[in-house]
Amino acid sequence: MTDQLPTLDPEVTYLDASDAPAALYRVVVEHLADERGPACWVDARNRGAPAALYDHLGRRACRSLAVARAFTGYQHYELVRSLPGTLRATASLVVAPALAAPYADPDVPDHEADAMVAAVLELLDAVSTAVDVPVLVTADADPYAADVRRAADRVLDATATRMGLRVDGDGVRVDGYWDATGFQTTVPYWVDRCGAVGCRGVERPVAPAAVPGV
Amino acid sequence: MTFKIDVREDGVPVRWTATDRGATATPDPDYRPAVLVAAREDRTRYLDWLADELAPDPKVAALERVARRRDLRADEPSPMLRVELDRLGECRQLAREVRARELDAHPPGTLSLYDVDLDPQFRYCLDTGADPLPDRRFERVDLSVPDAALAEGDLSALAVDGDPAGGSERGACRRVERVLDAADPDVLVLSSAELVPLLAERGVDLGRRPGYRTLAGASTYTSYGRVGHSPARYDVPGRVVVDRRSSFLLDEAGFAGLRYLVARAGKPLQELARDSIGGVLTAIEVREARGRGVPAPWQKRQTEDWKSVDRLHAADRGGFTFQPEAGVHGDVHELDFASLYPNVIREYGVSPDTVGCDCHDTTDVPELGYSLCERDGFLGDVLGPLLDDRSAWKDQHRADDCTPTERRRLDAKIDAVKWVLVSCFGYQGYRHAKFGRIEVHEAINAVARELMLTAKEAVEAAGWRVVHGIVDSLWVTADPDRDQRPVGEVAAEVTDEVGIALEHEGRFDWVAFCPRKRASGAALTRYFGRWADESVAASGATADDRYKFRGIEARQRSSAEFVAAAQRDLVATFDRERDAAAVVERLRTHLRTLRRGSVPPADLAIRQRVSKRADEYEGATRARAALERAADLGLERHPGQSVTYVVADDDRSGPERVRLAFEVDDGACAGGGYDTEFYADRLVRACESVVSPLGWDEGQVRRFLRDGRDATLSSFVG
Repeated sequence: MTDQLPTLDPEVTYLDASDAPAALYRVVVEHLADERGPACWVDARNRGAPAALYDHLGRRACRSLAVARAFTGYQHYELVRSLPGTLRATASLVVAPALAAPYADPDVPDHEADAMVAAVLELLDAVSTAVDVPVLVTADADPYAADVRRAADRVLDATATRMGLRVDGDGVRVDGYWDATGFQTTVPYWVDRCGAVGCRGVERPVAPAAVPGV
Repeated sequence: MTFKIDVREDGVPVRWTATDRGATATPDPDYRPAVLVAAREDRTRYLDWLADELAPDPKVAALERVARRRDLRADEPSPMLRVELDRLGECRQLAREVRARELDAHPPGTLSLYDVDLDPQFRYCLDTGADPLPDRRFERVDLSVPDAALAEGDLSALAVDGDPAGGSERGACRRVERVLDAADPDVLVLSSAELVPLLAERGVDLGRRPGYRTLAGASTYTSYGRVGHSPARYDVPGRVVVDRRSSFLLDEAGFAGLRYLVARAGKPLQELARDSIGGVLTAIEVREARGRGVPAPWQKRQTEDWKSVDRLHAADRGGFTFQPEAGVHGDVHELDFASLYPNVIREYGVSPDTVGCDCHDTTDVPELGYSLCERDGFLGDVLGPLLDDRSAWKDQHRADDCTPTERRRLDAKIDAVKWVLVSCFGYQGYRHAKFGRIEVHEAINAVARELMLTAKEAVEAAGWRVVHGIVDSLWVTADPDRDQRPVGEVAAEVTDEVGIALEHEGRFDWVAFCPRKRASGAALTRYFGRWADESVAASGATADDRYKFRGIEARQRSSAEFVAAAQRDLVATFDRERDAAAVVERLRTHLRTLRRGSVPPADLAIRQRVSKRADEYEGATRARAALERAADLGLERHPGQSVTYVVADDDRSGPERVRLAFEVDDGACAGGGYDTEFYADRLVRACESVVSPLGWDEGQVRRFLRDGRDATLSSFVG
């Protein structure tokens, strides 16, 4: 069932998780489930707090993560700059949540923040290409969110629905929703699996058809 | 010697040096401040480029290549460009311009700047070695005006050194002039710096020369997530201005404490007095680092080390906690590690330059496995003199021949240092701390937790049971099934083993730990207890001080004195009766006093720090009502300042809900002008805290009050 959530490719993927904060962890854990290489988490705004990582990713996925926290824009910039020297060739993922938030803090003058955000976006693009590694970023509702979205190679939008989590975007077909019990299927999913059976245009998801443990 | 530095309009510093009977001014036109610049990976071509860029700048007096260490961990100095400036006070401007030039030509972060954001006067002392203390005592004059009068610009109520100055504005002004002439003070302690312009408007110059300068307008800021307010700042020639409203240190550490910190930090009194504790610590660190060839970084770029989630989890744990059992425990000893965190820093060498060093491949820090270099750490050297001085003062304080005056002076200094020691650990984790490092913060915590575990195991092995433990304190009671070795003896053995004094604070006849309000288990920091006779005698306290309160209403700054006093009385009842019903019976007498309307309104005043402007509060809170009332009365209150009010009618919204403290002082609120039910509710809650260790909650207290029971004898005693 894992093919129903987006697969991350060696490019910069922007995930708009403002309506569904847990989507970040869900996409990461799905990716790491298939990967063996180490992953780097450039943290901001405490998204990588150990309790949250353990809760959402589980111990196994956490074992492959290295985390460093940025408390200011300057530190974030230096951490991203250090990635080329930190990442191993086998790296499987770079995650940078709330990417621009530290730059939007009042302790960084605007003109410096503008320059650093632009440089960080270029750097992450270069890292994904040079190391051939997926880079997953999110942005808070700060002045730079639009820049981050624009600079990404691919955009995903996560929504928390009544049926669970839904992720839309380039190359993602909404076949299911994730909720606390597992994966909830949609009509297109079953049509895909079983072929159309002549039911007349049922648009809403088939519910509840959870597949526990997925 | 140079106790005050004025900066003239042309940027020339003027040093004021104390003489036997006054002070003399000496301009220093040759002084040049300097900013240092280093390049990423020490690439000197960027420094050459910057030197070319800055050469035509008229602000720049000289450019020189020097070598300094980039940070405390650097073994070797790096090439830096020293940019000497013509005027004191232009360093930040130059730094901003350097940053703008850099961004035009190079990637961000190509250049790192140092020695940018130092107070000009502190910088001058650092650069020239000027000693900011006079070799005689500071002559001081204290001028104060009540808030309400100040709001109206009325100086008739001005007091000089606490004495009313004349009753009329004219009389007050003449009195101030006479006192300044006669005493020729070095320091003016003002209830508000606004007195500087107000007196100037009336022809009174507070300085040793005519005129004054406005250093900064009033502003609101956020620090550690709390909103603060900086009143406007003024400077007068030749005299130090200390604004009581904006001097946390004067409030907490007194003048003797301030003087000591001026000596330790090398920062002049006027600038130090308005510093936060973090500011003082930074000044001491900047001076120590300068001595080690490390300038003060401007925008700190040092990052956290990459960590596994498991290590981050281990590192993120706070101090040691041992969940207490809610309830009452008899015969409890308290053991405290003296200044645990600062002593861990010094005795175990935990410092930004020693944690995770490159030269040792050891796992010295428990749980985290960081190495600790054996060299003397920077932070230990910063704190060492403070720890030693404080310890020596405590010895002097205990000496039989110490006079009361001397004791007060020592207390002030002991408190001043206490604040710095208390904050040094947290400051390591502060994102803008110039010499802070998150791994140091984590390592201090990890070592401290290990020491607490060592102490816990030692007392348990000696037959004691731990009933509570938190950060640096343990509460132990005899295990009924075992024999005990004397607790003082065990503490001495732990002290020898770990190298940090584990002190036997005293014995409680009983301690009561309050349960959490909305969860099971006990709250870690809400308890009260009664010291045993020998502990009261040993501490020199009076019988009135025999109770210890933590976290409950009697200890909270925001509690009205009437509520706090009633709770202390309920604790005394609790002590006598150990019966929740008796305590609630006793509560009835306080409720009756309240309902008779005979409580002095000043005892009902609630002091609260406000975090927003009145119009920014979403709900109709009491703080908002107090701010609105202050505004109606022409009194300015900004976020970060406090308001003190009596609740007049809690059912109303707007300014009629409260009365401000000075109104009730004037008697406007006398005659029962307070909201009885509001305060009754506060009393019930304070009572609940006292009976909660016995298993009662607020509902039971209220039911008991409603349904009643024959008053026990105890409620009429005392």
